[in-house]
Amino acid sequence: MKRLGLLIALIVVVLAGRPAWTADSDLTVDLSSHVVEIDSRFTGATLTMFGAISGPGDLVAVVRGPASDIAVRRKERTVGLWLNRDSMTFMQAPQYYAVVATAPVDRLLPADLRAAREIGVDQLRLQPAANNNDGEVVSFRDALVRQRTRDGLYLDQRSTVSVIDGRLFRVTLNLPAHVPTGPYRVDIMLVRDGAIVAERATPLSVVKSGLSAEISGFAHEHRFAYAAIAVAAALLAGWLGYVLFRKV
Amino acid sequence: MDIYLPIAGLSINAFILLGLGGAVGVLSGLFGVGGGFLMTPLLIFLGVPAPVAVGTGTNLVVASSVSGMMAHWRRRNVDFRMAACILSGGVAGAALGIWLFEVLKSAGQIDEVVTLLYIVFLGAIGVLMAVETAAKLLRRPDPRPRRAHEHLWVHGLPFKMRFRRSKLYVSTIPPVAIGFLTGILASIMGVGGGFAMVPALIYVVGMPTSVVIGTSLLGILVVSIASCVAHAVATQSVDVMLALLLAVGAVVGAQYGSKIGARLRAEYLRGLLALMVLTVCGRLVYELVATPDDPFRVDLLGLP
Repeated sequence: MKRLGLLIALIVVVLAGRPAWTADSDLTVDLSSHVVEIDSRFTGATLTMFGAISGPGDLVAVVRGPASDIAVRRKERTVGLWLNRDSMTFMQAPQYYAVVATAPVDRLLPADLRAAREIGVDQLRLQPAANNNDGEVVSFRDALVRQRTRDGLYLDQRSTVSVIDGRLFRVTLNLPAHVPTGPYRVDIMLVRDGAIVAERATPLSVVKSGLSAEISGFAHEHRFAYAAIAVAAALLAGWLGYVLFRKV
Repeated sequence: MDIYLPIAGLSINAFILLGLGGAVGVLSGLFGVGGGFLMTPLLIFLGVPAPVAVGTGTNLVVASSVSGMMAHWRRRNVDFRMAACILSGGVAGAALGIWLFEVLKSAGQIDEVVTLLYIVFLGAIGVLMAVETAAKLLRRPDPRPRRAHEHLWVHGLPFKMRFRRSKLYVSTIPPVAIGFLTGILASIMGVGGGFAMVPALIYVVGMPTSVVIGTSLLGILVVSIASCVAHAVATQSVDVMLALLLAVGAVVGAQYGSKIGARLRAEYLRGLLALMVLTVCGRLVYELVATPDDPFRVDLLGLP
């Protein structure tokens, strides 16, 4: 069923794109959904990006989540105990970042281009808040990338890009259950001979929906009422437990 | 059956949460501790962000302590007069504790201070209780007629009051002081404080163990309501979905806990609590001493 829908979507894309199938429209892209909704049964989602390319080349897709300040703290052994000693805050680092491509990006694009466009986890520009010496920055930066990668929130290539008949392509990306909410940006690039020959940017948003959205919205907008309800619910649950079990 | 927790921002199997709540509930009913000091580290282990684990823990403690407290109340094991003394000190202590928390936080190192406080208190209480239990269990039954309570130094203090449920006529200073110190600990460490209050009431005030548990649960209930409201208002870190799932397990567990507690000998009860307290203490010491897998920790700022 999903496959059929995708096929129809692909055909629509191809047909709609036909009049513009000239040099300036080498790449046509769409997402399976522009909104990822997190409801109370959310256990992660699969994001499908699909489209068509006019000629030969490789595809690179970069998905970037909302940014926030991220602190990295380091423990050091102090009189036998491991205590937090140094910390470094990286300003406006992406909470989520993924790059997927038909081949390793370091073989597709030259280093300067990858650095300029932040293509690849190793090319992310992570800026520390205060001036620190370079050696320290590297180890803190590596720790940030290592832990985000371990948590499935930064990823390099760990996905599939399939190209059908050299013209239609499909990229799937599995978003974990703890995917950060907020605005995302999906950039898909057609790469030929070490250069980006065409690219399309598409917005994506990850939002809480249904009961999850209502609870989280209420908690932020009506703090005192939320606190009162939380306490009342807990008192009721405890009292009910007592009443029910007294009878048994 | 995974369920998405709206404030924590991740999904966890609902049965794991029910079971976790149940286990902590049994301990709560059995020992009269809120279980916050066990629940918070376990939730963090499951991937719940630390502030959400603390904030939600206070909400859960409300549910489990009201359930356990009512079960003890029915057995006439709650000394309301003693609870009022404890809480009058507790409220003042909590206010001071919140101020101290802010001071420590701005100086950095709040995590280490909290961990070290846990180790000192859990270690001291655990050893004290274990030694006493071992001595009691090894000794032959005492043939002499037992007195209602032992006469301790604190009983010489002024402002005496009669506590009928506890069968005591003692000064009000020690319970107020215990409440005050527990209030400080509770707000710094983000727990109800039962694990510190129970042994203090037994050893310092000389209350009978059976009455201590119901009375401390009432104290914990009031303290946890206050801190739950504070967390929900200040940081929006209370996840009701998570708290209710844990609470369903916890209220059921608490009933079983108080039933088991009614059958066990006081020495065994104390010995088990000592064992549990020392286990948690040992784990904290290990974390502080053992070389971590990754010395770095990553925190997203500005998020709950």
